[in-house]
Amino acid sequence: MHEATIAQYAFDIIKETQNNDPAIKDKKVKKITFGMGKPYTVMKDSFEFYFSELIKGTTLDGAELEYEKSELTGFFVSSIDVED
Amino acid sequence: MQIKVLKNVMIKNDAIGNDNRGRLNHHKVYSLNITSSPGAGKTTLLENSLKQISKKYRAAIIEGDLYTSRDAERLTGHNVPLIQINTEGGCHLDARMISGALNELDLNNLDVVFIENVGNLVCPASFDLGENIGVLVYSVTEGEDKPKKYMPMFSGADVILINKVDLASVCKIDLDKLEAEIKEINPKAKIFRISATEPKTLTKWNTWLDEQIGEYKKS
Repeated sequence: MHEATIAQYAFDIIKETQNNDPAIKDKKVKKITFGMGKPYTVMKDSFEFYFSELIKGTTLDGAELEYEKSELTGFFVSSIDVED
Repeated sequence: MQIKVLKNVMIKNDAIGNDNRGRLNHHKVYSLNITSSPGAGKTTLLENSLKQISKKYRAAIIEGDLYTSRDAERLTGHNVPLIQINTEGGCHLDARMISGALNELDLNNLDVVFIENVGNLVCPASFDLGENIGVLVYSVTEGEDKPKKYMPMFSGADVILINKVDLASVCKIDLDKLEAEIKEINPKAKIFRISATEPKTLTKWNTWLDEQIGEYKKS
């Protein structure tokens, strides 16, 4: 159940990315892409359960979640797509 | 519009872990992150090691537990500051929890902090707390075959205490074989064989720990 912590960290990283850039600060996030390199130690279903709770009522609410395999290590926030 | 982020989620934990390390180093407080499966003997080890270590050093305990304060209650008799963290089902302690616990301790008046992690042989391996050393307590009752099955916990530990060695023959455990497999995974780990319920078997470990704290305080 460490996915709860991982979800919080992922949420914090995305919010910081938005808050640090005035151009996208209040924009709706349409898609979030997570990178999964070995070992990623994250169960997707569990992660999404916690993540979906955290993003309710935020700019991330309703974003499509995508996952891509990666040569990098661990589980990371790869990119976000925000509304134009 | 797509924005590349490329940040590992664990950087959040690692940043707070590094901050914890900086705070502890600033106050010259040595710290241990004690991990194991549930029931391997972390609390018994703490009870008996504290008796020795707290004679010479000012100690404190950060006690991780899912829901209860049972371990904390066992340790209150030692008259050292004790911070209880209930993870409410969480399978590990993370750096943020330790940061909060450090806020509650008077670091100016401490030499060593024992962090007893939640009993779990998987997840704590991923979370740096800012400790000086990671101590894994592994009980012979868990079997000979676990080191390679739960490799990250073994490969990441600085010290591995093979506990309940008095039960080795009953459990049909070949201690040399077990130790050889651990060394194969982690050749650098310091290994001690103990029975945490028998204080005399802790002498080598306690002496080693005493020296480590002493050297750290002088550095």
